[in-house]
Amino acid sequence: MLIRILLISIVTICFSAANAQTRHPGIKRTSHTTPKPVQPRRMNTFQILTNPNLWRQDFPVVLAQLPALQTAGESKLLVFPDKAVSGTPARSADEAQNQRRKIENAMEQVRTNPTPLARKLMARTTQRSLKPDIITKFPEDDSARVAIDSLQLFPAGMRVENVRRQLGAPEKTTRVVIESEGERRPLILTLYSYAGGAVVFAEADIAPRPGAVDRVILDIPAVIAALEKEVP
Amino acid sequence: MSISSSSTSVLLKALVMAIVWASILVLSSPTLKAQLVDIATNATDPSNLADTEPSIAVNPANHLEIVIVSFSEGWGPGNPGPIWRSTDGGTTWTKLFVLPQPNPSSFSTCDQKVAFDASGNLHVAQLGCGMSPPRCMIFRQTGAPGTALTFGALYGDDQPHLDMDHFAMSAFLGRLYSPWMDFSASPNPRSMTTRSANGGSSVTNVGVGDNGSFPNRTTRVAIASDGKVYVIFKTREGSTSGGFENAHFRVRRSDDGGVNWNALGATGVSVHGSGAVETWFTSSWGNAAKGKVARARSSDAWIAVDPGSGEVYAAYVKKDDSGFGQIYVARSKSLGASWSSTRVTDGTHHSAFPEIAVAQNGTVGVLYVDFDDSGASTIFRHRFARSFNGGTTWSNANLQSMDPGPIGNATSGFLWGDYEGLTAAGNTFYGVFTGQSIGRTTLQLDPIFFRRTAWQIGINPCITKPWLCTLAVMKPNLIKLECPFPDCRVIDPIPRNCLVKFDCPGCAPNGLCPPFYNIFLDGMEDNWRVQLLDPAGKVVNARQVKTATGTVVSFRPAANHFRDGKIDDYHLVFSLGPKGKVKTPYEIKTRLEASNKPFRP
Repeated sequence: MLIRILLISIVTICFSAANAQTRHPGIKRTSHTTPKPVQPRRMNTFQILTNPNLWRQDFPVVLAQLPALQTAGESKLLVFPDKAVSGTPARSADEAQNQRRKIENAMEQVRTNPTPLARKLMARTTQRSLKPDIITKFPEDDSARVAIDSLQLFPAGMRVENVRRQLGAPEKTTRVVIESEGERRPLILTLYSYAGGAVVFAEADIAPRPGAVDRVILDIPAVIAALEKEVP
Repeated sequence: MSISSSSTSVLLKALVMAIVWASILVLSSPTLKAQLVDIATNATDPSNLADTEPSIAVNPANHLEIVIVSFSEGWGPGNPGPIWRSTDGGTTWTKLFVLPQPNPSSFSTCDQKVAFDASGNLHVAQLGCGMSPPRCMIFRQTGAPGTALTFGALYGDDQPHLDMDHFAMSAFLGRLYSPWMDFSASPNPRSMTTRSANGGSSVTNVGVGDNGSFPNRTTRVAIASDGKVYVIFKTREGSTSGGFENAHFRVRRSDDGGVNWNALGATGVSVHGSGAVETWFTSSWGNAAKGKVARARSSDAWIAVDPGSGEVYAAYVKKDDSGFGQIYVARSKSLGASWSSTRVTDGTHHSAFPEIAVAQNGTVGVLYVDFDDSGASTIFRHRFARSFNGGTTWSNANLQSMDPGPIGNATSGFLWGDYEGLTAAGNTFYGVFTGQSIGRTTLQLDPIFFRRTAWQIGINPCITKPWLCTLAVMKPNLIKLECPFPDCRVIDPIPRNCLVKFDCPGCAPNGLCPPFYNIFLDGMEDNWRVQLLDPAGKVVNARQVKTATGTVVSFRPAANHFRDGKIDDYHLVFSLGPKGKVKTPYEIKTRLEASNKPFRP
C-alpha cells in the first residue's frame, strides 16, 4: 500500500540573487546592510529550528523535507505561518509545474531511500502527507511558485520582539527590495539573520501592523549542513 | 511753538497707522525658507516607518484641512489603513485609521493618491496589495470628516492616481478621474483613465494612451476650471544608456467628462515637439558606488492647469546638452494644441521626480529632486522652483538635502517612491516629500510637509497664514474685494491691472520714465485700507489722499522698477478698515491717471 506517508512538500527556494536575476529578470533585488551592534546568544541552527516558542506543529514536517528539496535543486524555502513556498520564482505556471513534479519526485525518493539526516528528521516528527501545489501569482512579484499550504508553521502575527527574546539579537540586519514588473509599491523586507544566515526572520513593510514576522527564510544547504552536525 | 490738539491727534493717528502697518507688512525676502514640518512624531509613528510615495490634497472648501497619504501601516481585519490629516493648515498632524480592508486577500494599502471634492469630501485612490486585478478602488467620505471611508467599485491595476472636478463653472462638477497603468494590455502596456460621477461607487474605464507601437508609462491627470481634462503619459521607445530611454511625453484632452479623449487628435500632442527626448528609466537613480539609490521609472512627468487662465503646464524630464537629466516645463496657451518649453533646472545636476501645480494667481510651482555625487556620498536634494511669469524664468530653492546612507529605514532601490506630492490651493503651494526626519528620536525617513506662497513679494501674513490672502477680482473699471477672514489681505498686482484696464505708461530703455501714477480708488470709505508694495515687498512711501469719493494712491515708480519698459510688480494690498465686514463683497471703482506731479485734491 502506498502509504504516502510522509511528507512532502515543499518548497523552497532560493537561490542566490544572481540566480534569481537569471531566471526571472523582471525581479530586481537590492540590499543594504544596516550595521548594528549585535550580541547574539550562542544558539545553533538545530536549537533555533526546534524552539517550541517559535514554531507550530507542522514545522518539523516541513523541516524533514529539506533534503528532498535540496535534491530538487532548491536552495531557499520561504516559511509563512500557513504555508511553505519555493524561493525560486518561475516565469510561468508551466515552469512552476515542472519544478513541482521535480520536488515531488525528490520527496518520494528521499522517503524510500532517506539520507541519514532525513532519517533522523523524519524520526522526530509525525509523518503526514504533504502535497506540493502551484501558486500562479505570488503576490509580491506576480511570479509562479511551488508551495504547500494549509500548514501550521509559526504563529500568525508572531512579533520580531518575540524572536529577539528567544534567540537574542540577530547577527545581521539587512533590507531587501522586491519589485514586480509593474510600478506598484515594492515589498521591502527587513531581514534578521541568525546562525550565519541559515535562518532569517523577515519583517515586511507591507503589513497591517509593523513588527510582525512575515516569513522565515531557510537557506537549505546551510541548514542541512548545520543539522547534519547538530541533530542528535 | 505749540501743537494744536487736532495736530496731535493727526500725528498720533499717523504713528499708530505706521505701527499697525509695520506689524502687518513684515518684509521678507523671496528666498525665505519654506516652512518644513515633519508630520510624523514618535507618538504617531512608533514603528519608525519610511512613509514613502506621499501625496497631498487640500480641501477646496477649507484650506486649513489637508490630507496626506504615504506608505505607512497597511490594513487588515479590523485594522484600517491610515491617512494623515491636518486641520490647522499643516502645522500639526494626526494619523487617522480610516481605510477599511476592502477584501480579505488584501494585506496592505499600496499605491495611493488623495483628492477632495468641492464640498470637502475626501476621496482616496488605492491599490489593494494581495488582491488579484482588478484591485484599484476609490474610498469616499460618506460620514463625518476623519471617520472611516467607504470603498467603491474595483478597476484596473497599478499606480492609480486621482483628481476631482471641484470647479463650480464646470459641467462635470464632482466627476472623478483616476489614471492608471494597464500592464496586461495588448500589444503593450497602456495608460488608462477611470471616471466616475458618484465618487467611485461605480466606474468606467477608458484607454487613453497610444500603445500601438510602444508601451506607456507615467500617467497623470489635471482638470481645468471649465471641466476640460488633460492626461499626460509617455511612450517608451527604447533604452539608451546611463539609465535613460527614448520617449515622447504626450497629452490628450477630454471635453466631455472623460468619455472621449480625442480633443487633441487620436494620439495626442507631444509637449516637446516631434523628436523623442531621453528620460529616466532606472532602478538605480543616484550613484550606487556612493550610497543608496532610488528607482525612477514612472518619475518623469506631471501636468497641471492654471485655474484662472486655463493654460496648461506639463513638467517632464529631458536629458539635454548639459549631459544631465533635467526638468523642463512645457506651457500651452492653446488648450494643449501647441506647447513651448523652458528648463527649470540649471544643467548642473541630474534631476527627476517633477510634480507641478499652478496657483490661483498664475504662479507655477515645481517640486523635484536632484543629486550631488561630487563628494564621498550621494546627497539628494528636494527642491522647489517657482515661476511668476508663466514659466519664462524660474527661481529655485532647496527644501532639504539628505544623505540616505545613515538613515536606517531608507532602503536602497526605493528611497521616496515613484512620485511625491504637490498641489496649489488659492495662492499657496502645499507639498509633501519623503525626507530626513526633523526632531525624531531615531533618524529616519518621514513625510515632510511644506508650504510656500505663490506671491512673489513677501507679505508676512501671506507666508505664515497663506489662507488669509486672496487675489482681488478685476472687472472693467473696478475691483471686487472680499475678506473671508477678519485679518485677510486682498492683493491687487498693478501689472495685472495694466494688462486689463489701466493704460500704464512705460519706460523705454534709456528713455524717460513716466512721472507719477495716481490710482483712484472710489468707494473704499472706511471699509478698506490700502498699502502699496514694491517688487521687493517693501512698503512704498506713496501718498494717500482722501477725496470726496474715495482715496487716491499717488507714487512715482522707481526707474529700476520697470521691466522691459513696463512697470514691475508693484502691488496694492488691501485690508479691512474699521467699518469693513467679513465675507461681504465690495466693489471699488478704479482708474489710473499719469501725471507729471503727485496728486493734489
